[in-house]
Amino acid sequence: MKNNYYCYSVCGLFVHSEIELPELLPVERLQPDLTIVEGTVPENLEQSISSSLLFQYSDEAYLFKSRNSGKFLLTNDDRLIFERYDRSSYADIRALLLGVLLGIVLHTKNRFPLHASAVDVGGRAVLFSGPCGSGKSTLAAAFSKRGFDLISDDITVITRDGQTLFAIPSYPQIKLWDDSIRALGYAPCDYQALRPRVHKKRMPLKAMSLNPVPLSSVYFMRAADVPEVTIDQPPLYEAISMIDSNTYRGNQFKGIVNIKNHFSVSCSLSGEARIRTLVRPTDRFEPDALVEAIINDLNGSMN
Amino acid sequence: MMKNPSIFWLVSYPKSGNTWCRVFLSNYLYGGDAPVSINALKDIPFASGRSLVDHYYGVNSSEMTEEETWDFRIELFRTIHENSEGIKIIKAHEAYTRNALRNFFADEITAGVVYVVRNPLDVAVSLANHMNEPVDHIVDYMADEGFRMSIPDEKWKSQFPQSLGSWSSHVRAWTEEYPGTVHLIRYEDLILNPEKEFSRLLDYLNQVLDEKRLERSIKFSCFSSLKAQEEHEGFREKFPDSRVFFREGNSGSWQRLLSPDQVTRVRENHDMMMKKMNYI
Repeated sequence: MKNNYYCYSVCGLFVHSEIELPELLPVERLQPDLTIVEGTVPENLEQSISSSLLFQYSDEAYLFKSRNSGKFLLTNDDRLIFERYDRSSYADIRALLLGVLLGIVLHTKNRFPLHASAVDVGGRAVLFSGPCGSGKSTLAAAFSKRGFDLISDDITVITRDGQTLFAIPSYPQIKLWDDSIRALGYAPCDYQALRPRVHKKRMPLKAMSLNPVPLSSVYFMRAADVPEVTIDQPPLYEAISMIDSNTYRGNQFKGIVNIKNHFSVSCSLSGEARIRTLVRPTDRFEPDALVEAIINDLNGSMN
Repeated sequence: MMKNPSIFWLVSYPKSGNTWCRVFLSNYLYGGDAPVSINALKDIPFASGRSLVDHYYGVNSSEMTEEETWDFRIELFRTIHENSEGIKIIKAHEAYTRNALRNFFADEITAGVVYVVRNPLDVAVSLANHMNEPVDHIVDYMADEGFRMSIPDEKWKSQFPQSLGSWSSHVRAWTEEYPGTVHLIRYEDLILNPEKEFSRLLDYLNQVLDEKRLERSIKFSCFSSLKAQEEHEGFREKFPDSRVFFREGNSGSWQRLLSPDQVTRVRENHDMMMKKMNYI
């Protein structure tokens, strides 16, 4: 094995990479769960079971092609080979690696990723879940600003160890739009775009959780025409449905998602975590007020 | 064996009656004894809704470049076609101009196109409300071949960027350049005679006409019903900056809301196409 790999940890996986991934947490060299290399990737898989414009998979490998950026091949000996097109940059490749490809890798590794950001409040993981635009990253950034450690932004892997569910740290970065950066009291011009031709910014963090954090609560966020923020406990069937619709289980994962594991973690989550709905007014997002509301809600539950 | 094309595209320039047709069709094709909620029109999806792609593929499309998202969208439309039972209707505002976008409306999946056109003088008034911008800006946008909506900027947008171009070229490309069949509906004719126009639409969509269902669906999608629903529960497709989505639902309000100068400019900009569509 080559010695010049960069070594990282992300979502509980040890990653060796030929290219630098500055977003991720560097770690000591360990036996890797995944090795990322640059190389030649075929146009099509031999003996593919399912094939489309973007995704193909066979018993041996998984292929993702983006006509504008590059090709990615995940083999079942845990190598992720990418071929970058001239018109794309390494920032483009990294964005796809940490986006679409990370989702696929987590599924092949039988991890359960929830569409959620997570922070550490008093040694317990508090998750904010919901569709894009619901404000989960902004809220995680507001907690981080108050001194709480980030566990993960956008995708949070949940695992079970014995009787306890844990939220697994991803990497020390929060992705935010300019209006959110301003709402947090920062200046958008101080932050770099995620990648060329995409407006969303990356906010690197100095501190984050390094170890799995026992899970306490999941707040499912949405915006509506309401005057005030409300936090409620949903009935169980609604909790299960919200967990289900915020689970990464896209069409391209068909055939690789371990349904049994998904079902088991979904059920544990609905039964063992505090599940709440958080509805905020559509026309305003006040990070500080939301942090207060959640801390009060968490304190109330402990009394 | 290849499946016959199943997708009918319900296309219009924004604020031209597309949502009205969509609500009517949702009630006729998928509804029951109560009106379909304007916030639950998922059976007739919007081609430019990000949530469609984000949810289906488990990706965050707002972190991709616009070109990267095209492939996801093209493939999603293909998947909708492959999984459809009977016909499937998809709402769109895209112009039929740029090569890349023409791929959305691929022949293998497209059964037909319904194009809804409205007097550009009324479109200007309605679009000004929708975008919460002065009418003078809107008149300029509607003459701009590069006009796009939902362009990514400092905020998250629930819709993909949409290339519209000018009103005239939008109408021309869809009614003259698009090579397949196009069923044209004038918004003004819909207001005058909804029974006749919706019956013609159902016929184009190869649907059996059920008079009772037609009558009920027209009632459930009439302007006062939609406005009441919006007042009661809001409408999630309303632009954040605008006050209401369902504003007046009539034709001719430009006569009291546009200045003589604005009327002249719209007429000059779109003279030929307005004549062709019988607006002058």
